[in-house]
Amino acid sequence: MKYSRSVFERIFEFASVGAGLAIVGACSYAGYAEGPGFGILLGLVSLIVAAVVVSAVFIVTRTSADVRAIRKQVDQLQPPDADVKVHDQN
Amino acid sequence: MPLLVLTAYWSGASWAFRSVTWFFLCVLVLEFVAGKDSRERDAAGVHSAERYVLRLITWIWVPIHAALITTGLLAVGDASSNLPAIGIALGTVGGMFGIPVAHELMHRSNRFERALAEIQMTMFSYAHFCIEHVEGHHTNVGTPRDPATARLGESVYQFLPRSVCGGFAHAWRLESARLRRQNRSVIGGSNRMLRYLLTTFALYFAIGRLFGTKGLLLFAVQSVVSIGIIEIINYVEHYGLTRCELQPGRYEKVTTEHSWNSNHRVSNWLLFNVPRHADHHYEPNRAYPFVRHIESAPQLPAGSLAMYILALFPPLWRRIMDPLVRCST
Repeated sequence: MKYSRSVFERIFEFASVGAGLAIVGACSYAGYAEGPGFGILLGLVSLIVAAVVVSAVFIVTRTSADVRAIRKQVDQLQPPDADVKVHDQN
Repeated sequence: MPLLVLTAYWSGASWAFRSVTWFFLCVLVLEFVAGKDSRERDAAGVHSAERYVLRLITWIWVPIHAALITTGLLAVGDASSNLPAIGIALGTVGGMFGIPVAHELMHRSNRFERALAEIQMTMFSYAHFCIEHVEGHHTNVGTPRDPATARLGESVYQFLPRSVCGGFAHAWRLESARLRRQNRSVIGGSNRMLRYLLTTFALYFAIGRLFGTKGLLLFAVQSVVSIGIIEIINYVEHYGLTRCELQPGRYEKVTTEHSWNSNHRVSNWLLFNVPRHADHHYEPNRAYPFVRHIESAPQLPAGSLAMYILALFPPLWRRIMDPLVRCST
């Protein structure tokens, strides 16, 4: 039961990333779509553009001074053996 | 932006609707470059004429947006046009500019301004938001009763159907309760929900008659995109923040701790200070130019536009936001 749940969650996680790429990709597609119809090449380019934009946003946000400072604070709040305890319970 | 699209389209430029994507890409880059701005404007120090102009901006947006949708409907009739691309462009402009304007107007006590908000939201097929947001969300924010508060660990894709369906049901309940308090019939002309539904159906019918199936599809696509943006904004602004339950069913007062604040210059310019959300929930009637930056409120790590994009990728979103939520609660 636990295993099937984690598999389901993993599938949902992948699907959600796919959905995000599709949404941002569709927005970038709207930026250069000319005429009716949908070209496979344009679709692929849109997905690549989406992946690049999202990666850039994630990296810049993740490495911002604010996030680094807060993460440091959270690490200090967490007891050093917190991870070990979680593993022991499993 | 909308004026650029309108001018470009009517002068025959083929890039008219495509420019929307490039505009937002530039804004995203600018947001990281332009940094933050903590300055606040004191309402008392602003001349009444300037205050009037600032209000006027929100009023004139509504006809501009109507003109933009009409232009899109005319454009889509052309055989060489790309319906999904125009729909996404219209929906994005609506979501990014129209929603903050409607949001500003629905919080005003003036009847005319509230009517403008209703017209604006009808253009997104989402007029009930005027009831749900002001009377529901602002009362129940940060509690399990509020469909527009995202829970910690909840992805935007789980949140979207819960917020859209829950918001509609909640707006209906609020309106029914209001009518019952006033001893009026729930089924009748006084029911705003019924009025909104009828107006939306009438609008779809008129568009179908005038612009055909393509026009109907375009209107539906731009509505879906705009509704998606409204709900992503809701998702980001309250993700994981909760109010303490003091007694069963009774929660602590709404404070600036219950919304994410963002002080990033460009998104605040663009979104009529909606990212300064902590003060907005603390003092909902404060007009957009005077919304304050609250330093003690939970702060988003990047500008709102960047966060809206990240929200679409739940693993990345959680990696950034979950530690911040734990830190702020």
